[in-house]
Amino acid sequence: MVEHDDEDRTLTDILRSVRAEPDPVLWTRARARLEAGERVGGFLGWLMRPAALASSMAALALSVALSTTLVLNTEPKVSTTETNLSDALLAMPSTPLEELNVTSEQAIGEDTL
Amino acid sequence: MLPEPREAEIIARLRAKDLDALGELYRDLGGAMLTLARSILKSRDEADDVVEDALMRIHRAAPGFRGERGLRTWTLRIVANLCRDRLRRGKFSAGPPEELDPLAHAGLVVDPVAGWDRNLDLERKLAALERALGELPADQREAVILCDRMDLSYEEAAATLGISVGALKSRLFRARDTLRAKLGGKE
Repeated sequence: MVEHDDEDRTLTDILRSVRAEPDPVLWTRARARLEAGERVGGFLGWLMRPAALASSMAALALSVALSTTLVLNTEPKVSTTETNLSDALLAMPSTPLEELNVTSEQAIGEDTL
Repeated sequence: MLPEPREAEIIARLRAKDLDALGELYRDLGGAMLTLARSILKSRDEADDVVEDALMRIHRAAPGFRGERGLRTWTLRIVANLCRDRLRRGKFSAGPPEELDPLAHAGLVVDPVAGWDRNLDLERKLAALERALGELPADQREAVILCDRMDLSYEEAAATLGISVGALKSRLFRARDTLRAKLGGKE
């Protein structure tokens, strides 16, 4: 038992003699990181995170690929000759004159009744 | 450990996101944070990364810290959790190759101990103990480092690891047994 205790004391003495010194460079680095984070902050800070940046790049590449495929595979529309309102009106079938002959009574119609 | 009024003042300033308070915390507890991380991870670079991340986390989480467990326990708990994450992810192998000095590789220094028998091959014994420590299961290693290396009380070490005092003592018992056997066998 005494031997066991001695062994334990030696073990603890050796273990306790080992330690790490605080490294001032580590704090300087951490502080710079924190200050940079505070300056950037918000959405820009989120955007700068590597994972977010990678997913943004992937989304961009995907949308470019999709739009290119759509543009290349879509048939061009048949172009019409009417380019403005007057062309469109001229192109309309004309209305027979008889149909446009409306008497004044008809024009007033039943609205006055 | 920090004196109570000073600890309360640092906690209040940390809650207000005062970076100078974080610097003071590092000045007071940085040695303990690094000793824990370097002893667990056995790699100076990995351990320093963990302590840097721990400082970021402390800065972020400080507004929600109520101070029930004490600043040192809270800080060391964050470091221990980050070390566990690193070990779990297995990004590196804990421990240097056999031919390297494990203490130098981990960035640990040795203080002279009064009354040590100079006839003992201390360097060899230190290196053997450090290697044996690195071969322990992570939960036992944490217990030995907190109680035997860093001299934390059972209660504080248990709170740091988030386990009961009984579980801590059981881990310590098994770890010391293994270390004794390994050191005895190597001599």
